Order: sequence, then structure tokens, then C-alpha cells
Amino acid sequence: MTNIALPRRYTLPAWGLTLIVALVAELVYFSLTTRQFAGHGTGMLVLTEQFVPIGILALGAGMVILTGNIDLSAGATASLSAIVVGTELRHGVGMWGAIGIAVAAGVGFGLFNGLVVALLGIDSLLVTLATQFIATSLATSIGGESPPYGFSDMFQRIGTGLVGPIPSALLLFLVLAAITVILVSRTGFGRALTLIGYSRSAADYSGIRTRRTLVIAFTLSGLFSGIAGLVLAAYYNSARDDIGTTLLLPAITCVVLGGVDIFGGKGRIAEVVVAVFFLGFLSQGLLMSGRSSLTVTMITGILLIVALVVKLSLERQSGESLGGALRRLLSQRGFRRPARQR
Amino acid sequence: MSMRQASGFTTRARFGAAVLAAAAVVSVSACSSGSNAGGTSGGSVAKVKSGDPITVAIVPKLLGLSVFEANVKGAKQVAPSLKVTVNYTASVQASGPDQANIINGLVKSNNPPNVIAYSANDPTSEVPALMAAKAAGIKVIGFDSDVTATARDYFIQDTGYPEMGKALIDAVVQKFGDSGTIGILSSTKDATIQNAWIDAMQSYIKSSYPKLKVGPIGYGQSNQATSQTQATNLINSNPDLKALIPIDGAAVPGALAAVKAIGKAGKIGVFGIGDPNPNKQYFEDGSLTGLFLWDEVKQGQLIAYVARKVADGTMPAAGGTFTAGDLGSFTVSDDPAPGTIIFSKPLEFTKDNYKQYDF
Repeated sequence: MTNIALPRRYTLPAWGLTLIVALVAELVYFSLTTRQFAGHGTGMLVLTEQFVPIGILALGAGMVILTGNIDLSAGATASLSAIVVGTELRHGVGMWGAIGIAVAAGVGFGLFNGLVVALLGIDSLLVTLATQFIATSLATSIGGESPPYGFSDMFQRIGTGLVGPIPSALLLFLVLAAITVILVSRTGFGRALTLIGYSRSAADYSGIRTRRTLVIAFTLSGLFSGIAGLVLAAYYNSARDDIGTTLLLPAITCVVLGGVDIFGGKGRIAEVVVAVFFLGFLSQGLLMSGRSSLTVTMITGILLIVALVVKLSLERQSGESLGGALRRLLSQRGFRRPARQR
Repeated sequence: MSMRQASGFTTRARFGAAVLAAAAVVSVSACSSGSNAGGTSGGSVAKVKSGDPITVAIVPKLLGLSVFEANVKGAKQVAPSLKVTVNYTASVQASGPDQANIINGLVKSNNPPNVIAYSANDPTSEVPALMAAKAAGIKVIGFDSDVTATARDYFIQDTGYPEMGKALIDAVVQKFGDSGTIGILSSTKDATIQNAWIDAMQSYIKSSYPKLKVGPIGYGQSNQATSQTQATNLINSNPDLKALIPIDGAAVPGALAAVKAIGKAGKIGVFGIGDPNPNKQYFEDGSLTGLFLWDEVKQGQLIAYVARKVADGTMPAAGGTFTAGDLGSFTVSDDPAPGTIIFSKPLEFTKDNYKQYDF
């Protein structure tokens, strides 16, 4: 195993390049075959409104997965945030107040997840499975028999407004993505995240405040879920108790397709962002070509497998077979896994 | 660590992988583009002249539900004579946002349909997408489950809600008398139609059978196993329970399984709203004491007739009537919502007639 060498910062990573090439090929293909896909360039941008919430969730989920943990409650927290902001708006609370309360609910759930995982050492899969149920039932009971809908134009602009030719939701996503990329790739917090995922015990011994880092990662995931909920409520001009729940698996798919190791320790958020656009435009493009959502989900599954194989081939050492690379990576994993026991 | 990743392979390998991925994308998309290859007509929906061939996209809540398949079957039966092409598409899971995505895709496709007929997962999530469809000149009709009335032109309601409530309660009273407790098993707390049926049952009981008591309402989340648990709870917590009324497709088999497991088959009646196919065995063993719905195939035929008339611009306004082939004549009403067409009276399935219906 190589020791930590200074990363070659300005080299374009191979997986990112592969994703960008695939994204460009996809955009060109759909622009040529589906008349309204490009829409003079801006039509394509408006399509992003439909998958920006998935992208926002993927940013938070990506950070948590980098640490070798998972946040299953992200989608349910987004639902809760959407229901809370909608209910507050219905009750006449001002827009910024309502947004504040909803985001605080998201942060609260994230903080709780982080504290339980970091301080009690319970597996994040179990903790967030539990908080997912709690968030869902809270959302259902707050929503009641007629969940909130019909919000002010001002609020709806978060989901459907335009700044020049660019949807405001896309701008919001790009800002959040830029912050996350800098946080993960350029700060001590980001290095700590990755090291915890690579080897928890190494992180502990090297003096990193692993618990604090974990709490922050989960809290950020809660924050992003809260923001995703706002965008969902604004885009659909309504909130339902399942509005965000269905976004969890697509978000995790984006993280994995973006090259983040599902066991943590490896990956770049910038590549996750490219994966968000790749998968998002893929499903919009296929639907516009008259394909059913059955085809979309099937192709997403096939692509994920193709992508993982291609990625494995990229990680091959010279002269190594695909199977050999797989065995090597798995044996590394077997070596690394016990680190979690502390 | 990024060093370890970035320096482990050659430029050739990188390039090869990039090409491979790009090729995968193009080939996958290419094999999916067959249906629009021949499309050459203009982008937005052209105005239809009366009698021109039209396309109707039927977008139910999700794929693969037998009642919706029956709707589509009915629409296709009468489609050729009306010069209608039926395009059946929906999402894999019952989700409002997913359905909105499908509708957006139809609106922006190379060959947008002339008419979209939806059954909405919830009353609000699909509204922006349906508004976009209307703005693009597509006529929008709903069936089964509605959205806010401004987002569509007409809505085909399954049955009158008061009629369905009355039919269920009358059936209970006829077999089990007009006193005691009944338990209602619904789908979710915010299900519009189910709540309308519950209201109808409660107000009919209040006015006609005041000795009958409605116990707590269970919610099975449109899931058979959850419905069974909820039904078991209702039975155990209400010792004087006379009958269970499951009013959702998944709740009916769930309630029947619960009654059977507790050993109360025949003692506690089950009167449901649902389709006959999943409940065949319970008709035979007598534990299903009443089942109501409507003829889904004929409802599908009505969708095609209304689509034709909406595209031609010959649908009457509220208060007017129209004829739909062999189905007879229908009235457009502003009650309970603007532009509502009530399809039929509740249809009761019995041990003797259920075999005539295949859904």
C-alpha cells in the first residue's frame, strides 16, 4: 500500500473524464434525436429542475458515504422538511421563517443521527433506518388528511423560478455543490472525512477528531435534506409525506456512479456532481423519447453495472486481469474493514 | 490517496474506458429510440379537425395494476372505431413526482399526444406538469383519481360517492342487522377518494341507521401485509365488531386474511371496495360477504369516447349531456368538482357473477 503522497491536484481524474465524455455524448445524442430536448440550449437547463433535489441529497449522502457510513434517513428528512415548510406557510408564517423552521428540522435529524453514530458507536445503517421511520411518521402526522399545497409565487420561485436563462433551483444546486467540493477536497475536514472512511483506527491514532467529523458529516447531510425538501415543495407547489422518500435510492446511485466507494475512503464530490447530471439527463431524455419509466429504471440498472465494471478496469494495475483487480481490491477491503470495530 | 488512484493506469486505459462508456451510452439510447425515428411532424400539438386520427396517452398511477390494465383494454376495444391510438405509459412505483416526470416527458416528446388521461397519485404533485400539457395545447382528462380542477378539462369519476357509501352500508345491514360496530380499513390518511367514501358512509349511517357505530379507522398504506395487521388490530380492539369494510384494493385481501387467521370467517362480515380477481378464493369459501366496484373495462371505453370528443371540441359544458356509443348517455356536472362525469352506479360482484369480469 502506497503511503500518503501529495495528490497531483490538477490532473483530470480518469473516472471524472469518463463521466464527462458520457454526459456530453448523451446530451448530443438526445439533442439530435428529441426535438425539444435542447430547447435552444435553455430547454435543457430547465430539465434540471426535475432532478436537482436528487442532486442536493447526493451531496450530503456522498459526504456520509465517504466516511464509510450511510444515511438512509435523507429522503424521509426531505419529506419532513417539505411538509413542515408547507404547513408553516399555510399557517401564515413568513416565507423565511417557514424555511428556517424546515431547515432546522433537517439539521436536527442530521445532528441526532451524527451524535448517536459517533458517541454510541451504533452502525449508521441501523440508526438512520430508525430515524427514517421517525421522520416519515412525523411527516405523515403533520400532513394529516389534506397535506399543504398552493404556496405563494415568491416561494414557488425556489423550485421553478429563472435567473436569466438559468433555473434558480439549478443555481442553488451549483452553489451547494461548489461549497461541498471545496469542503471535501480542500480542507482538513474533507481529508478527515476520507481518512475515517479509509481506516477509522488510523484516523483515531493520527489525532483526527473522528467523532466531531462524523457528527458534522451527518449534520450536513440533514441540512442538505432539509434544503432538498424546500426545493421539492416549491417545485410541486405542494408537499406530501412521500415526496422525498423516493429520491433516496436515486441519490445513492448518483454517489456510487460518481465513483465514491460505498465502503468509504475513496471518491470525489465533483464526480458525483457529474453523475447527477448524467443520470438526470438520461432519465429525462429517455422519457422524452417516449420510453416508459420501466425502460428508464432498467437502463439505469444496466448502466450502473457497466459503470462499475469500467471503473474497476480503470483501477487495474498494469498487467492485472479484471478478476485479479477485483480480488486485490476485495482483499484490501477485508484488511480494512475490521478498523470499524475500534 | 488520489495519487494512488490517478497514477495506477495508463493514458491508453483511460481513453479506452472513456470510449467504452460513451459507446455504452449511445448504444443503449439508440436501441431505445425506435419509436420516435419516424416522427417528422411539428413540435407543438396541432389543432385536430373533427374525425382526424388522434393519440391518447393513458397515464394511470403506476404500471401493472390489473384495474388500470382493464381500463386500457376497454379503451383499446373502442379505439379503432374512434380513430384513436392508445399509448399506455406510467411509472414503476405509485409516486406523484414520478408521474409528473412521465407527463413532462410526454409533453416535450417529438410526438406529443393529443389527449392525456391520468389517474393521479395525489391531488397536487401532477398539477404543474398537467398545466404545462394544457399550455402546449394538449387536452387533459382525469379518471379514477382527480387533481385540482383547474389543471384538467374533464374528470371521469368512478361512481357517485353517496351511492357507494349507501350500497356498502345497505349490504352490511341486510346481512348483519342495523346495530353494532363496523370497522373501516382505508389506504392512507390523505387518500381523497377513500376519505370521500368514509364521509359518505358516516353520513348515511347518521341519517338512516343511528344504532350502527363506526369504530376507529385503520390505514393499511395500500399494502396487503400492513392492511392485515391493521385489520387484526381493529378486530382485537373491538370485541363487538360486526363487519370490516376495506375500501382499497390491497385492504380487501388483507382484511380477509386477518378474519380468516383469527378464525372469525363468517362471523365477522367483510364488505369491500375492490376488484374481484385477487379475491376469487374468498368468494368460494364465503368469507367475502360483499364486494363493490364498477366495470373497469367499460370505464376504459368511456375514456376513449371522452378523449375523442374533447379533441374534437364537442364535449358539452356543465349541465349538458353526451352519448358514448353503446355505453349510453352521460351528464357533465359541476358537483362535486367542475367538469365531472360520473361513470356508473356501484357494481356488486357476487359468487355468481364475478367470473364474468377479468380484472
